Amino acid sequence: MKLMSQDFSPRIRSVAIAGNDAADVTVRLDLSTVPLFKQQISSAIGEAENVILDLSNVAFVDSSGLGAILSCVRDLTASGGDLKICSVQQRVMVMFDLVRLPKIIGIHEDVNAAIAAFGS
Amino acid sequence: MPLDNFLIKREHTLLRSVLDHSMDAIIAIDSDSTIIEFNRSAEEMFGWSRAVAVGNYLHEMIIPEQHRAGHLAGMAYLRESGIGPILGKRLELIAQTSAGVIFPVELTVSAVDGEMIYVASLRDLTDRKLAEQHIERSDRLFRAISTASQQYIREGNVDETFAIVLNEVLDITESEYGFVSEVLYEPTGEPYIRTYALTNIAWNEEMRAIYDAMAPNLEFKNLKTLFGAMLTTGEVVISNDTATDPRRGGLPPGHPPLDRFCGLPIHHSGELVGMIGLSNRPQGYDLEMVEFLEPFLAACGNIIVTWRADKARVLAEAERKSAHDALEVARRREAEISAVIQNSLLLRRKPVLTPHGMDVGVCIMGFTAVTGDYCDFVTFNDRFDIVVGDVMGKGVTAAMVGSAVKGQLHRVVRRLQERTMLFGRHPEPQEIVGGLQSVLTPQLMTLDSFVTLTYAAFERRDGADSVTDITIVDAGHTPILRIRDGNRPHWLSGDNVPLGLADREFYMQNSHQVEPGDVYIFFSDGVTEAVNPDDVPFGKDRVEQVSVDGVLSRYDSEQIANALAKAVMVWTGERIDDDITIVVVKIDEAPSCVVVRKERAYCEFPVESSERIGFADFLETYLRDVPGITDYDRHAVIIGVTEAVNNIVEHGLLFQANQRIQLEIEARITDIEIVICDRGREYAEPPIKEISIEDNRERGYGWMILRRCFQDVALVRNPLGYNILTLQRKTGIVSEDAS
Repeated sequence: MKLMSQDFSPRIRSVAIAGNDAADVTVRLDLSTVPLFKQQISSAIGEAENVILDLSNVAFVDSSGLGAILSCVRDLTASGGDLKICSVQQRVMVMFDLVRLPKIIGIHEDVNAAIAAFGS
Repeated sequence: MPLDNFLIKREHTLLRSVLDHSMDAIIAIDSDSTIIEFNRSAEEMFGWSRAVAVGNYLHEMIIPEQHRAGHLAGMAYLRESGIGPILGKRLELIAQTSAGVIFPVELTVSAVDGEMIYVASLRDLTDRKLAEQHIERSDRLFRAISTASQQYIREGNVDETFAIVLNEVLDITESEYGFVSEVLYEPTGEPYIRTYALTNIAWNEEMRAIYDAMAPNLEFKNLKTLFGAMLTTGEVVISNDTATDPRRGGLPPGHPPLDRFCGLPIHHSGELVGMIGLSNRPQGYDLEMVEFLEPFLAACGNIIVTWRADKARVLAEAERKSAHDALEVARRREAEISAVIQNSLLLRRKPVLTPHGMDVGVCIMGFTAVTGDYCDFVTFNDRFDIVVGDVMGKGVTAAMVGSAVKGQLHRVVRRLQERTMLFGRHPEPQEIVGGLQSVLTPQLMTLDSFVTLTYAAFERRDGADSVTDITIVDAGHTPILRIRDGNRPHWLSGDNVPLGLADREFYMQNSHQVEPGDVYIFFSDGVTEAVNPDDVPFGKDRVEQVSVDGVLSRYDSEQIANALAKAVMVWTGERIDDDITIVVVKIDEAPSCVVVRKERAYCEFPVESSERIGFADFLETYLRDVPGITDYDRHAVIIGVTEAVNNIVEHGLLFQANQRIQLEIEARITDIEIVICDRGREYAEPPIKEISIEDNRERGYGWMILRRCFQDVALVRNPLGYNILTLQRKTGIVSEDAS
């Protein structure tokens, strides 16, 4: 697993979770990968305030993955920023829906929709 | 054989047979109390065999210690004087079994002519005494309700009224301490209580001073307590072992111990307005007691809300003494409130105890002033009765009549039960409605009012494990809609006239067979008669359509009731001027284990980290060809099982290598069941933690996710040292995020 950042404006940066092979859309954010995610996430976010977490390659998120995402939100909001999530696969969306995540974090169709949400 | 001998022998056989088949216990003794006959019923009643009993002293076998001396003295007197004051009389005494259990008996003793032999016939009164106690308890409850209401109406003093209420409820429930309180809210929305009455438990001089100065209006705001648990949930709190209850908050030093606690919410029109706390009932608290107290709690809610209205009126009068019309408004408001209050007494929330095999949902919407809708439930051990009715006419009279119907209903049921119990049955619906008719009709005729109602009894025939019959008495009420096989509507009705129109009406009942999956919808005419802006009534066809849609969508009974109410709201453009009462009963589908959508499948997998997701492939393959399952269900099952397995690996197997987990899955017609088995350490279900950004612990969401994926989660440790986790998901649920 690796994290790939891209800046959309001085204020907004997207971080995509990718597999070792760029075409791999079966990446898991779970007990086995969360330590790696946590190692890399702060440098991937860097100085950015507003972050879009792109989950298009992520096929599965478990409770520890959920905890890691919530921890990112916590850090960003503490420093005045925000985190939005985009491009969520169906199974991951069901898990977010079950825990009522949309009440806490904005979840968007794709990167552009997330950027637009930051703009407003 | 000489004829005499033959006759004697025959007489003997006959006597033996009479003795053996007598329902009563028959014991014969001689003049020094030695038992010489002990029949089969006596063996059953006292637990001694005839062989043991005969030849022993009566007082050593069945008379409790404290009565033995009295018995011997009586026998001695009888021997000397020949006078036996108890002979030939019917007496109630207590007796004792071989196991030392003491119970009430009815007894008659007669002397055998010319011999010093006495024959006692005894009957076990335990059941009758229990029934008497039950009836007495109910009567006291209704008397208490009426005393408290009258006290308030006469004096208007809420503290005194609730002092009476508290005494009664402590007495009836055999509780040691208690309080009656109002629920108020801080500006921040936090609930707290202010007591109207509480048992004086001052344990030292200082506390006594505080009680005397403040009582009865003390305020308690700590929510991390047992009563706090009730305040935050609005539900009944029962704790029969407060010492180990995680919800407890502890007591101030010196406070007398509270071993058992019960917090009863007082609701009014859906709002939590008060609370009764009880403690130290010797036998503990249970839902049956809560159910029993329900009418009492409704009456308390009534008094609290009336008191609030009175306070508001007094305030309005003081502030606007000069402005005549303002006062008029306040008066009208008072009338409206009192009507709404009556409704609260008439209408009941969902019953606390619903019988096995059926699901009951209630939706009640009260509007503006007044109609006399009412609904109520009566529970017998193998029968569940629903009463839905409407009092014609408006205003306080209608509300008062409704109140009377409700009160009388329970009285009539108890009285009839007292009689029918002797025949080993419950009162028939037609007997109950007939009983109501005879007590209410004179009153109704004077008031020029009448009452429509539907009385329906859901009954389980002998040996069946779910409801088999519905018996209906219809007294001029809207018919009942039955939906069978998911989409076949049928209206059930009768042709009796409403109560109060004819004083000699004989109420006919009719019975119908209940089938698994049936849905029954009871409603008031506020539903069918609600009109849209063009004055078109909602009508039966729309009731049918909305209900069938609800059933097809696999809603539970409460959701169907709510959907129907919502449809009426939309139809009228949210302008409804009648009350709406809807009760939906859903009979469970045939036991789901019988109907299998897909056979059980089994897998066993090692927990080495890389292979652990192997089970996900297994589930994926199995779920792919389960007919009719939604993607959402598929995902939820896999998400939930993943959390369950992670939890086992962490807490049961402690991440050790070379461990195995077994998993079994079966898709049935209404649910999917998964059983996961491991041989790890015993682990317990952790507390549920909701997600939040403020909370900085990152772990601990697993079990919450598991609970969201499965409606039923059961964890047991079996005697062979396996942890067995059973997960059940009702299928066909798209999203649970209804809130």
